[in-house]
Amino acid sequence: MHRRTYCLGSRFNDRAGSARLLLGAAAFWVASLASAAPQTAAPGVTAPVAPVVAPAPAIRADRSEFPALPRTPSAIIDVVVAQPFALELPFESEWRADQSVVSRGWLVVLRAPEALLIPRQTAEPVLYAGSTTAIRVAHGYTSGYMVAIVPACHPVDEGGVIDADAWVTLADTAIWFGSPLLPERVDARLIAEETLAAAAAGITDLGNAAATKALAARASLVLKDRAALAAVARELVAQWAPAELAEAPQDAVVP
Amino acid sequence: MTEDHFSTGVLHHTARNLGAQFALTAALFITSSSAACPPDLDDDGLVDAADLGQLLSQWGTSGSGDLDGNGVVAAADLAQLLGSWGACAATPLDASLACNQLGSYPHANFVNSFNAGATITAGIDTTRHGLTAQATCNLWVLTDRTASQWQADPSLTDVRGVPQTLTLATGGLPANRFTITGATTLSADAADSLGRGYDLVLDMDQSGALSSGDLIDGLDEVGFWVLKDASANGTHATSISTYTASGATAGYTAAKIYYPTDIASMGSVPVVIISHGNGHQYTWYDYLGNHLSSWGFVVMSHQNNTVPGIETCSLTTLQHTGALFAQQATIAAGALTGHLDATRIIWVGHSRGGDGILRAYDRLFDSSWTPPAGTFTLAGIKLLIPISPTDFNGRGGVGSGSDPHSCPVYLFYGAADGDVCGCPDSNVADSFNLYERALGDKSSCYIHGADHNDFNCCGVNDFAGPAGTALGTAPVQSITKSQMLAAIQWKLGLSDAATDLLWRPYEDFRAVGNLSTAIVVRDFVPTESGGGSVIDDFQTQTAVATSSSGGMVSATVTGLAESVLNDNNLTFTWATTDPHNGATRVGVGDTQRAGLFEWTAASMIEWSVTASQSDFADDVFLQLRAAQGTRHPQTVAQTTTSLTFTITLIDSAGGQSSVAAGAYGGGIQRPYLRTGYGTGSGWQEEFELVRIRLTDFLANGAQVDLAHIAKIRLNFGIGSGTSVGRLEIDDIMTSKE
Repeated sequence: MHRRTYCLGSRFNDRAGSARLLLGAAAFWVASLASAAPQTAAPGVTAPVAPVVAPAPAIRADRSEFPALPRTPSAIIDVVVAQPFALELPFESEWRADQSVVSRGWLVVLRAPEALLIPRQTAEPVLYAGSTTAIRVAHGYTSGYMVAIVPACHPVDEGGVIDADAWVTLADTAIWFGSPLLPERVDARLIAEETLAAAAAGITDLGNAAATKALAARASLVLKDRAALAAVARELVAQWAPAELAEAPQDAVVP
Repeated sequence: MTEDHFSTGVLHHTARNLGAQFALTAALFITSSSAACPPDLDDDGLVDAADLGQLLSQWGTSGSGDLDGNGVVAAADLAQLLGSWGACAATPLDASLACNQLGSYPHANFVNSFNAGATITAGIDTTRHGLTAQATCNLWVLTDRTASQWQADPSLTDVRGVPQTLTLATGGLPANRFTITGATTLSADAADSLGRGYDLVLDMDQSGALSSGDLIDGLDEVGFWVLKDASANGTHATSISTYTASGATAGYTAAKIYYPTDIASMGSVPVVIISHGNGHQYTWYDYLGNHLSSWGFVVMSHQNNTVPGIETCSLTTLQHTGALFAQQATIAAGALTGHLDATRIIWVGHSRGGDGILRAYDRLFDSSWTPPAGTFTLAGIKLLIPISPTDFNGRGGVGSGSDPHSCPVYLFYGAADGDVCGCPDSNVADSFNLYERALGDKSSCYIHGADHNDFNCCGVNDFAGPAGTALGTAPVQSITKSQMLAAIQWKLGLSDAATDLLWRPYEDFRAVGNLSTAIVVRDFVPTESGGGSVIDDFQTQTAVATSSSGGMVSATVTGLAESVLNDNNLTFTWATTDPHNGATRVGVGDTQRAGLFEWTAASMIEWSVTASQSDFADDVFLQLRAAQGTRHPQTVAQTTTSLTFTITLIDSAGGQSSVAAGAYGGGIQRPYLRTGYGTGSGWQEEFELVRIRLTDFLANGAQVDLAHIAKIRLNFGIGSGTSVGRLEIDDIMTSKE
């Protein structure tokens, strides 16, 4: 949790940066295969999947009380699925104020306290992963399972040097809910503050056992772009939070 | 429904001075005649030697003899006078007639609209109009005609087959309210308009033609409207299609469109765009899509990128709006091609999506986002409809903020909202910040017992009101459908039939399908540019003793103050240090102010009207809005749910007339009795409109000169209304229809 990492920011948002990302993506792909023993899948094609655990009973929509905002930082319960991905065409994430570039990471299905899954119009606790903000695909309030995209980050050594050729593993990544805010307003300074607060609250990295278990379910993927990533994410939504499928990002109308 | 207010105002002034009904009657038609007969310079009904002499005396100068308006009395004016020599052609009097009966003064509520099947009364103010008791006359109900149509064809044709014969009684207006026979069967069918217009004629000489001495309700405008049920579907069948928007943020490209099945036979059709809220789905607004498309609109609901924030969802609103126009040739197999009107766009946004549409408007306004060429422009956005919106941005400045600027706004809000709660501890949750920020026409609909997700089909139950007060999704959506349709028809100028639904007390008037027991608080603030004068909006003069228009304010009410509409602490518990307790209506960068006071005994507050604003004769309404103080001891002490008081107009000669604010039903609603945020019960303040037709102050011979109003006074306490109370008050103004 005290490890310093760096998630690609706008300084990589140029032609040279993109090239480096692509090189890094290939390395990550190999590393993911090695660490997670994934099933083989062609780029852009989703591998066969099997649920790790059965979905929990749906959260009742006729609740009598809208749950109060929980205290933060708040740990998640666990990650039930983690599917590594790498993108041929990285995209800028609007989930950070500094528009970081997402080139690789994990599609995750996670469980969390119910009050953290309910969509709110006012500020929601921001879902952090490592040293960046995660991208929520499905809130999970209808099933208890949130689907999200966790961007991968680079390690930073004690001297503050970013190792742009290496990637932090899922096991070495903490995932937690931080202070309520709009993700589009979160910047590197705030992430650093929230990381310290999470550490102080005892929130730790996922760890090898949990990561291995989560990664066992689905194969690593190399995908063309964000749209392809969204399509795979929708498969997870269909499986883990089917009632929220129409809400999930998509790039074509689903009949 | 509009009357010749100037002539009636002069009339009463004259009548009071002369103290003779005879003079009143004579002056009525003389004044009416002169308006239509300019060469009759001395208003005696004749163009004769006296007028010629008057004209010649003004030769070479400006004056009333300048008949052609070129600034000088000259040969052309003389020729016009000579050409009109003889008796002036008299005209009928444009008067309000169609009404609902009231149990007390002003005895009749002369309204614009009636629901189909409702009883309609003809209210004949014999005193005011100088009509002779025992006179027999005929009452005609006719299909609406314009003034020019009346001029071309004054013959009378009653839609009921035959007119209704009446005999006028002594006793003025209360004794001359006649139920219009057959009114309950009058047709409301009128294509996509909410209602059908009718004129009402009191044929005094029973000539069968509109002529001098007759009274007409609807000479220039519609006399009255008979409305269809605005909560029910219109006449069009709906077709639904889905498509993918090019150029929208990846992952947020899906859209659903609802359009009239017979759109091929229609011309340009207004477009309604729905932007959902956080955790909501674009498929959750079928009730609006189906409803509005059945009334002739194209409705599009799109995926909205709300979770990252307001900047992202405002972008998807902008992108989808552009894509709809750009892709119309391919959407729904081209059925929309050429039918989408980019000059008549309405943005509807729920919760974060409501914040987003105002941010989107602001981005267009600031030119920080430019629509694709040939799609739409800022000027095409005619109405913003936020539903329980958040306010993350505040007013902002150039390049930031959720600011509607001068675009009209219609806001919906549910008092039992457990999410965007209107709470005192967060500006983000205060929907009315956006409303108060609007500089254009604005109107709101505050629904007791409605929660955040009653406005869509499927969101979680966030109801946070007292047990037993939940209204339920179906009644809330019925109200939403009818009010939204009315607001859209109003701002697009499609029909005046619906405007009564926006401002009359819900207790008095609502769509047929709306739940009669629901508590709905309506507010309506037109811009000054729309006509009328602002007497006090509490903005430009911070001194309590001076109104924003510069007039003196005197009062015997207690605790009179004015300041920013801001609950300044974290609770709704009443405290003297938080005088605007419950006023969760200003966000970051906002400065909207209001007045406030209380009373425990008979007392008053009075505004002096400046000379430049004293002529109310051409205005239609006097209005103000007020809200009861949340959890204030004088609010808690009340035994009724609606607070009332009396409004008095005083003219420069001392003549005065009073109307009770609750005469038309309702009053100022007690705040919703929701608990939380401190001790006691009562939620955010609910501004409610009080709007009185100015001619109501003239009813039944009341003696006040609308052309020379000197003071407006509000009286409170026993004898004038609710015995104790606490009010916030704002936007005291006159307005036109």
